Amino acid sequence: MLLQAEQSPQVRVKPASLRLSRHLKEFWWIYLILIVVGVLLMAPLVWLISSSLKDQGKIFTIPPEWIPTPVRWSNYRTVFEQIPFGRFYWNSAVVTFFATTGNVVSASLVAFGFARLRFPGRDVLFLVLLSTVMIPYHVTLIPTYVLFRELHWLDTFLPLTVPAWIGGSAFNIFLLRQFYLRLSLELDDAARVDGAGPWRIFWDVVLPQSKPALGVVAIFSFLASWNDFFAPFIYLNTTEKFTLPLGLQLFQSTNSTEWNLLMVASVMTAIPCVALYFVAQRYFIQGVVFTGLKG
Amino acid sequence: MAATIPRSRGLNHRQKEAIAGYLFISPWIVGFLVFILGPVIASFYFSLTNYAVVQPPTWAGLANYRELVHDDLFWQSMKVTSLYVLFSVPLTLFFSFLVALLMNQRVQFVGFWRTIYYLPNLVPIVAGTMLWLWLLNPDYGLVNGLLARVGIDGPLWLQSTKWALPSLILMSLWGVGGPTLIYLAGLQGIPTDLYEAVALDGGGAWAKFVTVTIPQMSPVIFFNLILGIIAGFQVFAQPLIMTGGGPRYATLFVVLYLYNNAFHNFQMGYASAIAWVLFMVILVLTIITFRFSSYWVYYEGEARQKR
Amino acid sequence: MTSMKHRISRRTFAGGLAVGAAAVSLAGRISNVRAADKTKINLNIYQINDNWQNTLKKVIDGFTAANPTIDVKLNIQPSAQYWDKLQTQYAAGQAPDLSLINADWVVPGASRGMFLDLKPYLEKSPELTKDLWYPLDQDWGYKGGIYGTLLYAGGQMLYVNKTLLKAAGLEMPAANWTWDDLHSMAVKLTDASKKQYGMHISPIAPPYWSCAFIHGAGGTVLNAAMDKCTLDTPEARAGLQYIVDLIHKDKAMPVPPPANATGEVNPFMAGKVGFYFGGSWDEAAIRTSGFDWDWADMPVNAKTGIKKVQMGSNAWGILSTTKHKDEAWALAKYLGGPEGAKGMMSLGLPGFKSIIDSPEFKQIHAPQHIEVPLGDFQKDSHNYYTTPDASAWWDAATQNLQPMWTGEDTVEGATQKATSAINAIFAKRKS
Repeated sequence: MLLQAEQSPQVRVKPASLRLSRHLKEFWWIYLILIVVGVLLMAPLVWLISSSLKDQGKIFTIPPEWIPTPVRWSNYRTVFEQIPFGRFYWNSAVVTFFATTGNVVSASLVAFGFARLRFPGRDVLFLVLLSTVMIPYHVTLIPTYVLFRELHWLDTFLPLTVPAWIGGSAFNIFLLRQFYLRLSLELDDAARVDGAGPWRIFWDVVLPQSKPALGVVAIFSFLASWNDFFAPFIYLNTTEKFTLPLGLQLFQSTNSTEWNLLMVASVMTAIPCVALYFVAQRYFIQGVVFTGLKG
Repeated sequence: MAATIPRSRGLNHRQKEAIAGYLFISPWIVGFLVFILGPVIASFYFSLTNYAVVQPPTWAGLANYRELVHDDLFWQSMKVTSLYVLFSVPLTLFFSFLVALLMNQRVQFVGFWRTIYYLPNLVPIVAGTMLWLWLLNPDYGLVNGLLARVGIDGPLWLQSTKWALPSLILMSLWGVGGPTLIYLAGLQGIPTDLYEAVALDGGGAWAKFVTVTIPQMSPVIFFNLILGIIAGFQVFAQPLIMTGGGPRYATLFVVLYLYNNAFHNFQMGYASAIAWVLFMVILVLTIITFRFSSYWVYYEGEARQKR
Repeated sequence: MTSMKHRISRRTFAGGLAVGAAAVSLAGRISNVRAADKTKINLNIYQINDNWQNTLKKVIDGFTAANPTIDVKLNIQPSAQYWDKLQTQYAAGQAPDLSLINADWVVPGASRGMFLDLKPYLEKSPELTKDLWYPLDQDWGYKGGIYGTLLYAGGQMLYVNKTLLKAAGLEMPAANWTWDDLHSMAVKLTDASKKQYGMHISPIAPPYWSCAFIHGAGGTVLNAAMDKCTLDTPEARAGLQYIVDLIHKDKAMPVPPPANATGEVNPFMAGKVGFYFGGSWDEAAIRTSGFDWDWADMPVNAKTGIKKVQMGSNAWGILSTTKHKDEAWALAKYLGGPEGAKGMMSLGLPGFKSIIDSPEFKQIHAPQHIEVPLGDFQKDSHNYYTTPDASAWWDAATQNLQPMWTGEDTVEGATQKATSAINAIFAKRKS
């Protein structure tokens, strides 16, 4: 039972209490594992929230204090007073929106080409695609920077968004390629017999069956963009154009750190991610199981 | 069967498919030519120069590569990085698969659990790092505190030449949420009828796992393996923030060494040479992994080409 | 000269790109320099103090009021990896006119032509240095040039947890106390059951702050010409042995953390340490800690009669690519001069005697006695060891000495390894 995939989401419609107790009797050990490991994994968030409500001097108490005394709600106001946090939020939202949509759109197209269509040089090109992520960015940073200078894109959001629309991350393309390759060809062939071209097959056959993978790509792209520090740091210079991770770092100076305020900023950076993930996983992992057969 | 369709339209169909193929991948081609190729070639050129970043590069031929051969720190960094990949990649593959299977069960509040298990990937890195520094502090940390309870004198963790690398490997497991999510998405795509067929043959849970889950998941496992290798060889942030490569080079990862050379020692040329050697290592390992993949990775959508 | 360098670097990068870039036709290589607004100065700062933006803005307002023809654009940057960004900007001809520069970066950057030599300007403005107790060439001098004006003085300070001292029945140390006094007090303050230690040094990796002990014992890190490592001399070893004994023999000091990692546990802040050798920038955080504390004098080594503190301060530097040298200097002079120092005196330690002696300044640090560490700064400071290859050999020192702090290696073994590694780096210097 354990090793079998979830059969159908409908089965999980509110179990009666009798079924629940039988369920618990059978699967108590799963819950035990879930809770023990879950507590470990939840610790950082709890720590984060707790620290964000402390006085600066109480951050480093030994042993650590999990429940702050006193609770400093005012830290949350202070953050907005010290830096233009609302502005950073908006900047991050804009950049993340365009980068994420770009990544999902372009990766889904490119991956389809590599996975389902045959053309000369395909495998070599795919290796080239993969090899682009094998070179550490440090050694291509300066030429790339010069390139954006020549395009007059420095200190704008364009270096952070446009590349996502033309190819984006090779990892996303590779991921989607793997998922496309898993799909049976029967539906393709059926569609082809009906006279469908590659675009119709992509749009009507492959995409609807790939929602979980597209969801993963969307989540990864969102997080990568939302939490990216280095690229916005290098390409943006004007403080008003900063994104959240840069704003977050403004509480960390060379030699000292306002930990409580940094934690406030971290909590507020993480909350949209947690909320979004909670909603999204529900949609793309449970809602679309086996819809592929509708054709 | 499949072969009859192209034949009916002759070469024309093949050409059409090829054109469609190029069109589909064209966004990447454009992005590659515009944003990636130039800087990549520039970095290769840098590897053949003495280049102090703030001064123009001067031609050095293969001197940087020759120097690498005799550079003990470079070899140390290769050793550290390889050990990390050797341990962290299989452990991550294993544990994330396990967690994905767990998250795919009919448990109550599954959305809640899935979110909890992904939390470490959602928390900003500064907060995560700080928490680990606290946990692993030899005097005041929770880990040694718990070990002391059961009578074990805990190690110095990040401070010890022996334990620093294992500590980072341990920490890498904290981030299994990423591969787990990919597995989870993969588990959604396994057709139920395959399981039913095994059940009809009288197969139990284990048979279903071995004959259906594993083969069906092999393309996804393969993805996580390749991704683990590529990312593992380029680990940078954790050693930069937490250990600075120490103690005594015990956590000197290749990319950290490269970075120190590029932006702290003004040796971008040398750093570029390291980058290209690293590139070759990753590329060769990736190609080998791809070659061997035909033995164990099963693509439903490639069946036609294999037949 | 400057513009030529700029042109060369642009051409070379374009050349590097062009090798593979028939494909990358960089459409219309129009000059990147915007329609020159001839008096607009770009000033980049990175976060060095947690909350200094508003103070700095006020100082800049003061400057623009006095210099109406100059417009200052202030760009506040995160501190992490700012050095990488500044180099990247510089390489692409996009550097700001003026930037805050870390003590570690001045000489490595200046020796490669990145910063403007300010000595000619300083000679024309004697009023800037007249009242200065802080020698500008101490951290930022290179081959006779001076490459920075002072933001504020930074250095090592000895903080004392008076609450712990009182609980142990100890008095505040006298002005001329010795290493032996420190040792015996540290041992008395140690209480393993409470995980309480007598002493702590941070950051010790890189081992800047252990220099106080190396120097006090009569040793040095490098020789005077800075081309030979002297960590393996008996004097330097004696200084390091003093610390190692406190850690391992007396268990009066915690094993120091591996790197200067932000977020490392600092037991002094948590009230678990009696004597803390920290930085001047630790003051703000210590003020929030809730225990009674003050500064103490650095102890003297009774054998040698030496007492030394290690300094290392950040500078205002002018990037050599600037097109507005005089305007940039005007700003650097204002920020590093008496007006700037006065305006920012709540944030750090000004380099001007008249300011640090003023009751107004002392009031900021009361009831603690800022004149104590400032006295050491003025009388017994040691300059920062910095060379064009400082980053490489400091890292070699850090890495090779680490196992000594943890007890995995002896002082002899670790200093031997560090010395040969550093000398090997020096051997690579050209000409």
